[in-house]
Amino acid sequence: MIKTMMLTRHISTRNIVATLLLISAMLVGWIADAVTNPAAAIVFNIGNGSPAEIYIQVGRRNSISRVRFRVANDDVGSGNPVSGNRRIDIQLLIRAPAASPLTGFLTVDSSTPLNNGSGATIPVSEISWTASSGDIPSDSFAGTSNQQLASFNSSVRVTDRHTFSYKNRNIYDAGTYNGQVTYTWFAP
Amino acid sequence: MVRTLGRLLLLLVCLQALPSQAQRLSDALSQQQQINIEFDWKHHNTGDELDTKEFNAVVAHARNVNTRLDTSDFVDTQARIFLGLPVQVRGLNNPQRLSVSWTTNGLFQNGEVTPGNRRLIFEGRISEPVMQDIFNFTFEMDARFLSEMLRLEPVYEIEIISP
Repeated sequence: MIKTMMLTRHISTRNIVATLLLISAMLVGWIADAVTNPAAAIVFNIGNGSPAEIYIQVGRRNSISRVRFRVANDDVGSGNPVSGNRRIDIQLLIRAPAASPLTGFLTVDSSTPLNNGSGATIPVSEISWTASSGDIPSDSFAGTSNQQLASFNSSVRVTDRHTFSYKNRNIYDAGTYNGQVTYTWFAP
Repeated sequence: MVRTLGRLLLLLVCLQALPSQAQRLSDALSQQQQINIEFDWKHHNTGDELDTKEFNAVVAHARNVNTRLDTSDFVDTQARIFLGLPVQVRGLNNPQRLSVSWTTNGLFQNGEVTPGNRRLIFEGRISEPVMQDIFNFTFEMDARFLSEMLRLEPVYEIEIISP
């Protein structure tokens, strides 16, 4: 029995060496597989060519929208506001990639008063508006050339509906008074 | 002890015989190495019909990209080939905001993939040492997450089905 056990230990040593060699060879093969990682040859470099865009539409596209205020004879200068005959939608758009963001500014020029063609005038500051969504807040025309109404960061689309009102605080000569305000939407 | 080592040896042999993990395929044989393109707005009509995603979508195209894959080590094997994108893309804030789609001339399948994923483009017998096809790539993403120039390297991988 002792002789058998001695013979068994001799064979085990050779087996251990052979097995260790085999394990080492296999590990080298697996490691070689793991590090064999050819670099990519085709590389796409994609630049930010999309230009910044801003857009404004006041009322109907490509036309001047008219708002009329009809003040009854017995109500002139009463202080009772008179609503305009229509509401005007103002649509703004500004978009730019995140790499080059923009801020847009909406201004209005109401510096030229309404006039009746005979020299009588009514300042545009007598007209105010109420905003539907409030994105372009309710206010009154300032009667200046560069009144800032709102600003927005890219990228955004804004639509607001304005209902105009004549304040009817003063008495003016009877007649039809015409005037125009100009909205400007810009990103410096 | 002998029996234990024998079992270990058998296990190691069996593991070595299992199908290989995915291996990277080189496209270094391809003709054009650096492809410079530009994003542009996908939709130039900026009306209310566009939702937010469409409104901010930018797209770039790389057409007629002659792609040659080195399959010389795998000739006469049954294999699958995949096209994938790394999860990290330089210039991209959010991997989910970019998608890459492609059409080919027919050897490889058309497909679409997002960063961190891959798409099967071929399954069958590898018969040539170089597999070549013409790709037309389209890159689309949300401009709000475009922080700088994108640098994108498609990754091609092969898995052996049977030797």
